[in-house]
Amino acid sequence: MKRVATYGLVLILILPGCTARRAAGPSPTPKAYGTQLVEVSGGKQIGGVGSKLSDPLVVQVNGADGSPVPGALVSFRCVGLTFNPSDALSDSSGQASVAVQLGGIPGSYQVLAATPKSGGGTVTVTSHEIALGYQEKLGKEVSEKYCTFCHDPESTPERVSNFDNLTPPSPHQFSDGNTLNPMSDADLIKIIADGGPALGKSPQTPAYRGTLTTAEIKAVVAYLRAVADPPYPASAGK
Amino acid sequence: MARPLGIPEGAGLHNPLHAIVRWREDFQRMLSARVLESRLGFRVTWYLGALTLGCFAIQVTTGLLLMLYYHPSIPQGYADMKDLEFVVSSGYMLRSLHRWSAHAMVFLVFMHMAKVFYRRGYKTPRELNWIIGVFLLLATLLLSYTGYLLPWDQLSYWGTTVGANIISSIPVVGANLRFYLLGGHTVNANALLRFYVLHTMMFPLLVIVLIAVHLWRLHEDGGMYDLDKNGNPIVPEHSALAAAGAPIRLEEEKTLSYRELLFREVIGIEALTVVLFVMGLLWKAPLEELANPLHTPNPARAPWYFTGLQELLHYFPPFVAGIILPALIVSGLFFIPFSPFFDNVTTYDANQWFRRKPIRMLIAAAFILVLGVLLVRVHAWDALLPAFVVAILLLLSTEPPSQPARGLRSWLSSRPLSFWIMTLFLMEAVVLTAVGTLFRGPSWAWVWPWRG
Amino acid sequence: MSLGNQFGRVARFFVGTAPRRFASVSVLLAVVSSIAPTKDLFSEWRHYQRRYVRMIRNRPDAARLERRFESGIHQIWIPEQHVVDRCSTCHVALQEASLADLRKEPFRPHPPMPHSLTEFGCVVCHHGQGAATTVQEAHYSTKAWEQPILPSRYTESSCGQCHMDVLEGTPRLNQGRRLLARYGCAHCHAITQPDGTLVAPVDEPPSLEHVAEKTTREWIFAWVKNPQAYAASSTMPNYRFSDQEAADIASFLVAQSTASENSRKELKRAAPPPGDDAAQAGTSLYGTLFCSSCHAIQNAAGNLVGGDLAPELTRVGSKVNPDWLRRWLQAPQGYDPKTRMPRYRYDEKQVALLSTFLLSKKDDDFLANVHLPDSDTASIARGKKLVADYGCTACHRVNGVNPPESFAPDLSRIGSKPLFQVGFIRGMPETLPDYIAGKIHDPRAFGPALKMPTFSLTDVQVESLTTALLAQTDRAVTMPPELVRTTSHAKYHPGGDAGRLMEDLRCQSCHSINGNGGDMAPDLSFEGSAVQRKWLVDFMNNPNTLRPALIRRMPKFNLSEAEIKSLSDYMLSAYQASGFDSQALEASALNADAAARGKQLFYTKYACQSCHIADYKKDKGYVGPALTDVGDQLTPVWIYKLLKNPNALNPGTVMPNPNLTDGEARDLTAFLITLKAHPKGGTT
Repeated sequence: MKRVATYGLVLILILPGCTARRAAGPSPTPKAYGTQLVEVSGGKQIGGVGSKLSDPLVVQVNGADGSPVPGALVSFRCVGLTFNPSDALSDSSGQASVAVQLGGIPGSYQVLAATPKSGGGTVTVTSHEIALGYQEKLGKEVSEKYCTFCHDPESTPERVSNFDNLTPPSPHQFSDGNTLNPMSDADLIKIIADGGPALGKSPQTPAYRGTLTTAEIKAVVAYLRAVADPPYPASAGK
Repeated sequence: MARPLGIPEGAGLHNPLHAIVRWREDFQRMLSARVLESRLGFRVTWYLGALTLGCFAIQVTTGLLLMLYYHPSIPQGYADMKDLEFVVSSGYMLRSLHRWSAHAMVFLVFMHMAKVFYRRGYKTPRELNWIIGVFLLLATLLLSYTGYLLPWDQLSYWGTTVGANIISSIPVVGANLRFYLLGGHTVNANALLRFYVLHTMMFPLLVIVLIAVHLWRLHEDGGMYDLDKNGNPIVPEHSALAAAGAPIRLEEEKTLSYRELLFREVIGIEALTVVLFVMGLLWKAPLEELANPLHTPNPARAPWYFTGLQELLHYFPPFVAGIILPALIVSGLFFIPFSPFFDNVTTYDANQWFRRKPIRMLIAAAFILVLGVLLVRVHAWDALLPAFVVAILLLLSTEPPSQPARGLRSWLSSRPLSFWIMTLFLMEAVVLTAVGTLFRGPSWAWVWPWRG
Repeated sequence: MSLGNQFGRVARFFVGTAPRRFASVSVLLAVVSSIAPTKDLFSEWRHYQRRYVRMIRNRPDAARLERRFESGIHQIWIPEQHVVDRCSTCHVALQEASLADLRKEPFRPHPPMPHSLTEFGCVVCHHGQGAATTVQEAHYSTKAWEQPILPSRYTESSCGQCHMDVLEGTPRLNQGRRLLARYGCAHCHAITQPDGTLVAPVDEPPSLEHVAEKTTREWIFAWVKNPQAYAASSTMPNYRFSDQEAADIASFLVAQSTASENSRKELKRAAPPPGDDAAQAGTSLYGTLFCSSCHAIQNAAGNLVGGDLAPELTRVGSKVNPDWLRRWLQAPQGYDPKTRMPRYRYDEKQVALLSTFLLSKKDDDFLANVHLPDSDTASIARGKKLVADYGCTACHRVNGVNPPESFAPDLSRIGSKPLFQVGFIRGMPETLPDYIAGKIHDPRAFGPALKMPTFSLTDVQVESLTTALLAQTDRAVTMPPELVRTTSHAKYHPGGDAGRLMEDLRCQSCHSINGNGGDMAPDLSFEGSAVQRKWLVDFMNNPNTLRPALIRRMPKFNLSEAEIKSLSDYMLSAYQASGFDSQALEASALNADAAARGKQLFYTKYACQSCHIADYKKDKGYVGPALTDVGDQLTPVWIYKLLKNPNALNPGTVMPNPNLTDGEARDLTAFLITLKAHPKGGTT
């Protein structure tokens, strides 16, 4: 009897350790299902690595007739980003909004937002967020000082854009991936260092060899690659 | 001594085999010559001395290995601790073993002393061994104290500072003593070097010599048995058999102690080592931040074996709690073998004690009353607890001598005065150490440890 | 046989006799003592290194990578900085640029950065425990040790440990340092910088010694309760006073107010034209006087229009006493000798129109519900105590209350504050950056008895401030001077008559000279070498603009001829670039042929017209100043030297260095000096 009691006690003490650990908390149960998913705002934001993006990422779930669907479960996934929360129910206007924190690796991240569809399967929408590391941030500072007054058509309170004052061909915006992605890094460095004529282009792009160091020019190129839309293939995240 | 291998008296001293045999016999003499196998059964309190020696051996081994990596300088010493933790293969194990073995050694030496006292192992002819034992206790505490500083983290620095400040409260010579100990006015690089030499050289050598003498005396004094006038061991079972008129069977005496006892002691030491290894694997020795003389942790706690003293310091001024009381305790310990006034027996005859009982009881009661009043005056409620318990036991032991002797009450009533005082001291030590380690928080205010 | 008996037999086999016990325990000891050395073979860092070796086998440059890899513990040891960094034990590929396409740590190479890994180690920039070789201890060391790894968004703070100069690659740090100076943190907190100087505040909290002349008790009450309700862009923080406390403070401030110098002066006033004309004239006068260069007003759409150098005037009509306003406009220094506002030398008509315009900028709702009880001595006494307790005099001068000393904690080493000294709020992440950010964002959440007020800062601003404060580490404060990078300049105060005039006009509020002053207007350090005298005199008479699109422009000071002469003489003689020989360029070289060649270079080879306007009819490029009158404005030698190296004469300029040959520069200079104003007059 005493022996049985001892073995029994030992077993009881060991058993709790063998039970499977429960998952970190169930995701909320959906109350409705949608058929379309669109991004409302908060995509294509640029932030430093590790920082929280200033605006939340907002997507809207719509039904087949285009009206918003409240109570649908939207999950946000992207390797390297943190979402708070990662699974959310859409509110009364059909929108689900999450705060995004960037990861530690610079580059373009592709966020996959997914919601289960009424008839089974999921419908998704992708958004891009851009994280800038040290080199890209340096490139951003340099480009905002020396480049954006010609390359950015929009004026800000701090500076008026020079874009419309130039004779064609107009300068390409830095986010113009279609034009810049096919150009190699060496070409980009060449045109920044030696001006437009080095690649047979307009002399309206001056030569910056005497003004910027090699590191700064490479930083600008890194920045261009980071903010390119469509994303530059080598720096695109998963 | 007989030469069991049949080597004739005076036969060839030049034969090396014979020399080896002789050495073996001499080695056998280090422990009791004869002990009954039945007496070699496992007893919890029995191996404490051997375990303490085992701890010391572990300390020497791990200490020597640690010395290969440690520089006693600031801040290199601390960086070396981190190297041990992260780079040296099994370095964390070395350090953890050293630390837990140190704690175990202090604990075991304390338990050994209590056991020897309660078994009356300080009586003639063992007074010198007891004195040597007290010196070993002090040396153990000092080894721990000096080793505590070597990691040079906040714990080390402030624990050492608290201890050094207590020393400086000795009148007249205190400040100088502190200066000699630290090699300066504060705990700094000189103190570290000094403590390093004390910890790795001076005290270990002292301890080794003392242990050798202690073990030799152990043998000379008859080991586990008392000696009669001729120097032969008095085996109580034989006395009982002789008194009953039964023959003494020689087979029961056949055990050669050095092999059997040594086996058992080595098993005990190995078991202790296994336990210490497991402790080292589970709980790494702590390392706090680098010592910062500008930031005193709150509370600055002494090592656990001194927290009892620190708790006393909370109630009494430093001179009393740090000098008077420890001096009283240590001299009391030394005095125990020479206290015929309290304990006038050299035999196990219980009946002799009843004669002095009223005086004994009165003295014990008076002692406890004075201590109680003193403690109440300083609001030392935790220290009052053991005194209270001992007072209860004392009350329980009051029994008219005419009653037959049996049960707890009668056993208590036959205890000598030294029993009461030693029990009170041991209980106070345990309670004060426990309180100082667990129940004291910032500014030495009372905290309940489970409430955090 | 029963289970118990079987168990007994097994037990007796192992521990039956003493020798068997000895054997069993010995075996157990051998096993247990070999656990620790065996664990070494499976230590965490070995696991990572084995993973690395497996990974690089599949890469194109596997042979080269394998050759460069050494197994074992790697360490970077810099004894002078007490750096022992073993991070590269697991992060083995920090210097292998070919692995840049990897998306997961720990084998990514370090991104390009301005410092070498072997010179600085890792921990100097990233914190963490360098001596550790396990992930937990290296990245997330315990509270009692060094700080855990710095989150990547705060890495710029480590640059600030050595660099006090403004770096391009550290925008957050730069902004944070600007905010530290601008929001007055340095008034209460002492912050020692790496070069040993204290951070100097650049905001100018007004003196309150004569505040009763300027405004009412009700306004002070409403302001102290919520400064941002009056001026959304105000940097004054909110102390969360109760109504009673705010009323007491207002009573005390009004009671302690004395008469200013202005109040004793005669006030001349002219009657403004009646009706709408006055409003219209006032508005356009406000525009032409370019008050917006420094002051901002919220427009109907809610946007702030104007500069941030001076207080926002959106509701100034609800604040100021009309009499005070007129006196102020005529002589600001008579009310507050330390103000940055120049003495504009307005005439009475201008003063009257401006006052009418400004007084019309009011918000009746602002003070509508403010009804204060009468002020009594008890209230004044309580107010005085509050002003002393909350450290108002750390920023504002108040009669009868001395500036407090050591009022707020010294933040010089806040970046190294050990975590056990930090009192966290329950539930917040227990890291130092979160503590600093949380404290800045909402100080009172850390304890209702704290006196630190709440500043109205955006999340990005809080992050920048946290970055700047995290740069204040033990290492920063104890940095040897030869390692500190700074661009501090000696203090500059112009002397003599011209100097007094420049003080009166507060030129250095907007212009910087020899590194001292504001950055809103061009740097005048070399103006004497740059401009021609006639143009300078004309300009000061009538500051036309070179950049018409800007809102913030130089106002007209109505200076007398003698004043202008004094200033021009001083500038042309004192503000010279070193080594400038104004005769260096031969006039003969600047002939018509050269001008023609120069024009060709201007328009074709270098396309200067993409940024500069040389001819209003053809050119539209508007980045740099228009060059239509440059022949009147700048000296030829200046033009020549500027073309050769713009950044040397105009540090921080956006103009790229076109790497001209000497001949090209001469030709361009020859062309540019032909660009003069139309002989008929008119300078635009």
